[in-house]
Amino acid sequence: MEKDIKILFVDDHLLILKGFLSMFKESESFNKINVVIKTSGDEALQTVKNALETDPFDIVFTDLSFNTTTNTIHSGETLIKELKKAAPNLKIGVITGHSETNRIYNVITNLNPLAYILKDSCNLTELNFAIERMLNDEVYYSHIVHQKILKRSIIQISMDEIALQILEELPKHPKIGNLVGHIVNSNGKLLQIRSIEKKLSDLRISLNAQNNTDLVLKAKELGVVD
Amino acid sequence: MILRKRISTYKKHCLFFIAFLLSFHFSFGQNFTSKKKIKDSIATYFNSLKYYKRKDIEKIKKYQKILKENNLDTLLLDSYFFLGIEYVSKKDSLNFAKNLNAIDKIYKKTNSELAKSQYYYLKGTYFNSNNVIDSAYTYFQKAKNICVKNNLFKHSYRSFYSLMELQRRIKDAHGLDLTAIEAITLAKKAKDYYGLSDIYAYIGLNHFETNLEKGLDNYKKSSFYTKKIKDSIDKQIYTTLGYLNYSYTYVFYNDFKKALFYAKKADSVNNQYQLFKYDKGLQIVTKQNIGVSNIVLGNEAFGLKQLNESKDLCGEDYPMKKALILYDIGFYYQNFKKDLKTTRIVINEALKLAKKISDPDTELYCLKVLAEISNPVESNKYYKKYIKLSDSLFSKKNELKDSYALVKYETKEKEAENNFLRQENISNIIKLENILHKNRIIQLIAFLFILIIVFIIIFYYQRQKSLIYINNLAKATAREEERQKIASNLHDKIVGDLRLIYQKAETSNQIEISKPLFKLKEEIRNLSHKLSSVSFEEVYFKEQMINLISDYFSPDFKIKTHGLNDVDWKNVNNTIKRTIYLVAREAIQNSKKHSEATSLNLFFEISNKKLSLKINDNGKGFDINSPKYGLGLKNQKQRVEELNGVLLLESIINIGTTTTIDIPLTV
Repeated sequence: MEKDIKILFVDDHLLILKGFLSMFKESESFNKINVVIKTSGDEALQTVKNALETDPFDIVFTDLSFNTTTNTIHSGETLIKELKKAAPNLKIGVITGHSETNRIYNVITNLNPLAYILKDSCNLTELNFAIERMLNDEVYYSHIVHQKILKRSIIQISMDEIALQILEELPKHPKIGNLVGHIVNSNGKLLQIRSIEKKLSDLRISLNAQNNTDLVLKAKELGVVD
Repeated sequence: MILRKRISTYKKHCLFFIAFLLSFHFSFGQNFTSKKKIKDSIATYFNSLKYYKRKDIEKIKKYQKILKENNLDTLLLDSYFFLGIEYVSKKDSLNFAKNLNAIDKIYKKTNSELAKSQYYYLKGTYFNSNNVIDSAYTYFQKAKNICVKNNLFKHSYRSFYSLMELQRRIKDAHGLDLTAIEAITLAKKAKDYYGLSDIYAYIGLNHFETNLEKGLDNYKKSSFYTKKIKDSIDKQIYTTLGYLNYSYTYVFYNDFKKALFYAKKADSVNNQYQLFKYDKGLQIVTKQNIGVSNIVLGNEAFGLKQLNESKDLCGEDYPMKKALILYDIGFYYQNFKKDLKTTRIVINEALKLAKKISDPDTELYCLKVLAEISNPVESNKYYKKYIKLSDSLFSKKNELKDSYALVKYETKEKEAENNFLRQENISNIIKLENILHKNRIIQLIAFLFILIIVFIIIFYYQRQKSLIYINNLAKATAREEERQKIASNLHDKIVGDLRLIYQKAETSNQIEISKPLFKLKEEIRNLSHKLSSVSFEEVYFKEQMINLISDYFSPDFKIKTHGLNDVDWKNVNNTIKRTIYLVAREAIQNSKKHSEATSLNLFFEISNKKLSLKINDNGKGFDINSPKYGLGLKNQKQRVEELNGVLLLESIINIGTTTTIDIPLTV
């Protein structure tokens, strides 16, 4: 028998927590998964700390906003920070209604949760998939979250004159080396081959491109260049 | 004894002649430089006018007319001056007065100090010729002072000589020396060798009677400066004069050998350079001296011949000298030939001439000789005349001396008074300046005071403004916090609850409830987003702005940002950033929702301590006054205005909408 997976759900709405519980009760994997629910950050942190020695949690899913006046932990962000301090091996995911790019971007860049799941789209299948990836130390974001992050990259690229120049010039030249002499920075200086290659690699990462051809295609598809 | 008397008259005339010579030398000695021929020719003529010539009044008047036509004021002035001298010697008071008025007119016209000085000089000459010594002294003094004050050195000698002559006449040796020293000082300053030679000769002549050494010493100095004169003829004339001075100085001391020696020297220079062409007087005096010396040394026939030649040279031009020479001849006949008959004839001629030209000294000598050679009755008559004339001369001289002393005293007193007044004037000026100074300081202080007050007022207003600004910022921040609270409440409580109800409704398949519930939930969620804004303390504004744009960006609604990277957002107040953020969000939202635009541009810029954001789209535009957009716009406008900013909205149907905001970054 596989080892039981111990998961903690934190949300200030008891109804939602009960929803998760009922979801797992109905699922086949219920036997394997040990679900604990807490309605406040303070309680959640304490529970994790208490269980550390005997039977530590594998995963914590937390909401981002807690409507509370009595507790010291006011937001999911704070809780995540505290949890990371208390239990470095704990895998942390976010399940929240916040779908604004701003919140998503900030949470992902600052706290690096293994999962960012939106409540609207959240169902048992998604949760199971997310848990599986998290246990393998892989990242899972809801589809919308993915889209938002990609879009953000596009915006950033569209503001980056050098990136735009490279994307414009790339299809015209058979070799990257030929780009030298065509790319100019804001001070009017020509860019060296190393800077161009660095920029290209950054662009590939942010647009999820396999290679340079893929990059140009994606940029066109996403409307970064015409 | 008798010779001495003769010599004293000789000296007197000699001095007179020197003074006259010098005065003309200084009035004509200067160079007239003019391009005009008329001016040159007249100037040459004026230069040629020597003391011994009777000046041709008609000729000068003729020239005067030409000078007037050509406006040659300087020469015109000279012409008036000559005429003035001439009228004085002719005792023509009427024409003299007219002439004097003409000079006064020139002075008033040209304001020439020279004219003024010549005016005074002529007045002095007039009074001098009428023996009004005190007035003459005053005017000569005035003329001299003007010349000295205006650096008209050469002209000043004229007055110096006249003053010295006056002082000599009343035997004020000390005063004469003082005048001479002043003249020498000036002459040395001006390097005027004519002047120096003349003045030293004059001092010598004034002193040799009482102090031979001093006299000779001054002659030496005079000849030293004579040698420095450049013009050769002038130099020789001055040399001759110097010899003659020696000559008659020795005559005075009865050293006739030396007197003859110098007279011969003078004669040889005279002949070598033919000086008689320029100055007949020199020849006359030379011959007279040679004659007298020869007679006394025993060479009577030759001496008499010289005297007669000398007398003939005088002609009509030198009546004074002629009278004196006649007396010399008479003296010879009386004492050496004992020819009383010839003596009487010659002396009577001399007496007649002396009376005619009113030369009382010669007259006196003649009377004495006549008294000596006449019979007792006639002799008595002559003695009586002699005593009467002598007395009148004596008292006249005393009178002159007294009045001169008075004038001198008064002049000094006046000068002292003037000095006092001047000093008082200066102290008054200083006092006035002090008052002015004080006033200026008071004005300055007042000005500073006003400046400070203005500064304080400006400072106060500025501070007031900044306080209002800070206050507004604080208010805006507080309002923002309030909005955020409401937003988070809406989002977390109401939307959360709605979501649960919606989920329940959906699971129980109550579509008629779940659908509107979902819509309601979304609307409230949007509203809460609108109200909420995030803190910029942790997240950079730039990132946040990109996040915002990402939320609305899509391939069919392209958003392009300009200048976002160029602004240093760290230095911008959070409330301002928030407002910018919210306005941008509102504008993008409106554009995406309502305008059907396909592209939108954001321009960020900081200029003149002002942050500005311009947002434009290519949408269909809308009526700004439509109430549909009223509320959101009003909110943003209010937000901007709370920060002393300006929000402008322009929308053109089918072209697009432009929102511009300007917010000052400092007070």
